Amino acid sequence: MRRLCTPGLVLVVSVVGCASAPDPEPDIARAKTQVEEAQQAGAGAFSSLQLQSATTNLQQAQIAAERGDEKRATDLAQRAELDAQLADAMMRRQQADKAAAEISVGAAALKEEADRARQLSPPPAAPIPSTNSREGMP
Amino acid sequence: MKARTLGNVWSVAALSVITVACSTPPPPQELISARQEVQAALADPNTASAGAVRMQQAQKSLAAAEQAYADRESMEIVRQDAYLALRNAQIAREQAAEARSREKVANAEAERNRVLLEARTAEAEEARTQAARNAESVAAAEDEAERLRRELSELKAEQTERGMVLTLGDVLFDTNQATIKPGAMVNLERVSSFLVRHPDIRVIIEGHADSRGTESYNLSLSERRAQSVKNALVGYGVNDARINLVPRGESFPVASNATATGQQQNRRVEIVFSDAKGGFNVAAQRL
Repeated sequence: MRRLCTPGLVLVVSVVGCASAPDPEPDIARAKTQVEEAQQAGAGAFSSLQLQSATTNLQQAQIAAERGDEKRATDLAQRAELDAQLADAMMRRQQADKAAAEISVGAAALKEEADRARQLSPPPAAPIPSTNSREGMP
Repeated sequence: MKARTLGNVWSVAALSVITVACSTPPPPQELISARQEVQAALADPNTASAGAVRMQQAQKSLAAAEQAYADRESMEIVRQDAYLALRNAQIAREQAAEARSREKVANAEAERNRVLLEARTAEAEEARTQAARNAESVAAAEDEAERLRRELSELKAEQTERGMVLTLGDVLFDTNQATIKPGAMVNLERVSSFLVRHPDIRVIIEGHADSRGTESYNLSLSERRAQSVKNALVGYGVNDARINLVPRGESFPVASNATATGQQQNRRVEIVFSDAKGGFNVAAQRL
């Protein structure tokens, strides 16, 4: 539908074409949920710029909706939703990176230890325990 | 769409304002970024699997943005689709990277389990070998002890609590003398040769007397007889550091001193042999 709102057609079908923008509320609601979830998951610590962008876009979407600019509100809500999803994806990726780094350090240490244990030559046969002793010679 | 748009432009309104608006503008930064990001995401081998859905959305949005741009639709539309394409491509790349790290974790865990299993297997193997070695050396030591016992038995030594003990009776000495009779020297030579062959074995030579005469005389005689035996062994090549000399006097009779036979039995020298390692059963030795 929005393709009809080309500069050439504005004069002819202007109001009709552009007035049919979708209701932005579902998009705003969805974006709001995603932003809140990302915030609660702690994404801010991993992707603060993206989360900041999400909240800004969400606020702008709400403002646009209030002043009746439904098209703009929908666009901004969609941006906010993807911003939040990116923030969430970045957090998950960094958490996975951290786990991988930690486990590879642990695995290296373990392997080193195992190698060292393997290299230790087997101990010589234990001497036969004897109850006798030279010490007590009469 | 493009044809119709252009047609509309030219046929519906030949206004200069519109022609200006329709001249090809440079692509907006969002579109450039989206193209680059989608290209980069496509080049990532993991986006196809781990970020498949996002890649599809990114490409769809980018195509829409490109179309809108080619159709010279409003920059708002181009920017919006480009933004969605950019974000979806970024998400796809994050998902791909996350998948790589998760795979690393999984591999490291598998490797860790493998190393642990290997270590446990090696440990069990080592314990088994050690047990076998211990059993072998115990068996070998038992064999050795048994062999020594047999050899000493052949020398007329007897198994006692104190160890193997060889008793040299009174008849092997001249009466009231410390001199060993020549016949007894043969046995002492065999004892010496046994000790030379088993250099870790030590001996205690105890001199004993009967109760006739003074205690000091008996102690002295028992010491002199023990010393004679020691001298004989040293003479046959036994290191005297392996020999402990203990005069016992009349304190440890083996028979009654009331009869002549008993008295003769009590006049004796005992050679106590250590075990193969030079150890004595300390608790059982006389004090």
